[in-house]
Amino acid sequence: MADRLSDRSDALSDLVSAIARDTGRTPPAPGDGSDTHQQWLLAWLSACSQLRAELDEQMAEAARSAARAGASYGELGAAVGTSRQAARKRWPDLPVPARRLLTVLERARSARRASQERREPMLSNVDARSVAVGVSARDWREAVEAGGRLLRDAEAVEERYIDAMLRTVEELGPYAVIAPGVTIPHARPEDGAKKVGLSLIVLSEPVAFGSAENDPVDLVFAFATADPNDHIGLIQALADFLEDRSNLHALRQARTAAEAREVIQRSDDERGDS
Amino acid sequence: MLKIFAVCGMGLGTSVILKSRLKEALDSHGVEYSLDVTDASTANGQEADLIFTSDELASKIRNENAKTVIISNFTNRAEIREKTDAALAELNG
Repeated sequence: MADRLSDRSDALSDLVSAIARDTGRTPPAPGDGSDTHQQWLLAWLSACSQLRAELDEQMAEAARSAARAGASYGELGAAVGTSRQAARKRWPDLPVPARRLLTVLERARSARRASQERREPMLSNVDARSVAVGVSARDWREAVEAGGRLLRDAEAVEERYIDAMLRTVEELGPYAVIAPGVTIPHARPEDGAKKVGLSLIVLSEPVAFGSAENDPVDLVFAFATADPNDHIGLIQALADFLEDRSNLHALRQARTAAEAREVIQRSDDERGDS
Repeated sequence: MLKIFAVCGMGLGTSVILKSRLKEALDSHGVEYSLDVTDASTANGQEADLIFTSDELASKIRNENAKTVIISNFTNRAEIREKTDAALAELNG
């Protein structure tokens, strides 16, 4: 590739020269003073810069077209010799294939239709507002309430769903503490769930739920689903995410909600690329 | 045919995770089984060989025929696989 490119460097020089001439400058003739020479070199530099800006635009357009045709950020990054993350940073919001969770409802519905057993990466479709870090809670009750309020704010549940989540813990105990430091509080669809929702609270100080094996808890993933099947793909994706201890560590290190979301996004990307 | 129950609170969260991971562990043994997600009282009233559940719900299991297996970390495939292996070995032995 590089060799073929250097073969064409003459053509590229001709192009730069033509752009430089458009500025009204001309290459210095023998006998011209150093001033003329300098003006031409600056015109050349300016032409290179304009060409680069034009190429950047063409790259962005090409990336968008490739994404529309099904390319992932990983493939876009590889094409320009950078990482997936760098490609994402360079061209945010490309229409890459919809295998992430920003539209959890459509994904969940189609996942249900396709296969309830198939796991799909969907965690990062969690509503951006539904993540909070550094939340202080005095006890498990406040922790569950905080998670429930985010679901309510995302309009995934009615207010009464939060009370139902608390009742569930009271009645069934801390069984929803599914791994060391991690709980997935929820209630039933008929307790006021409006759609599939998932929120994440990272507590500033862990609280006890009464779990013999997994206390204390500082990661609270509250969820809801209006249909007892719609959330299956989401929960399985969540379980896989939680199985990787480096993800838990990264969430606990996150200083902002955006950083916590980034951890989830990264995990989704890796699933998507694999 | 082994009859297996995964006992959970509401059949929405823990059970969804447990069912898919148990399925993986059981399939690797090539045994014939049925695997259903239920609550404790349903599992207590039925014939069963194995009941998987959490520490918190284990006290609600009253099924004398079945062996109860307690899972503490539901996300951990290794734990679920090891405990499944051990339970199946015990049933066969």
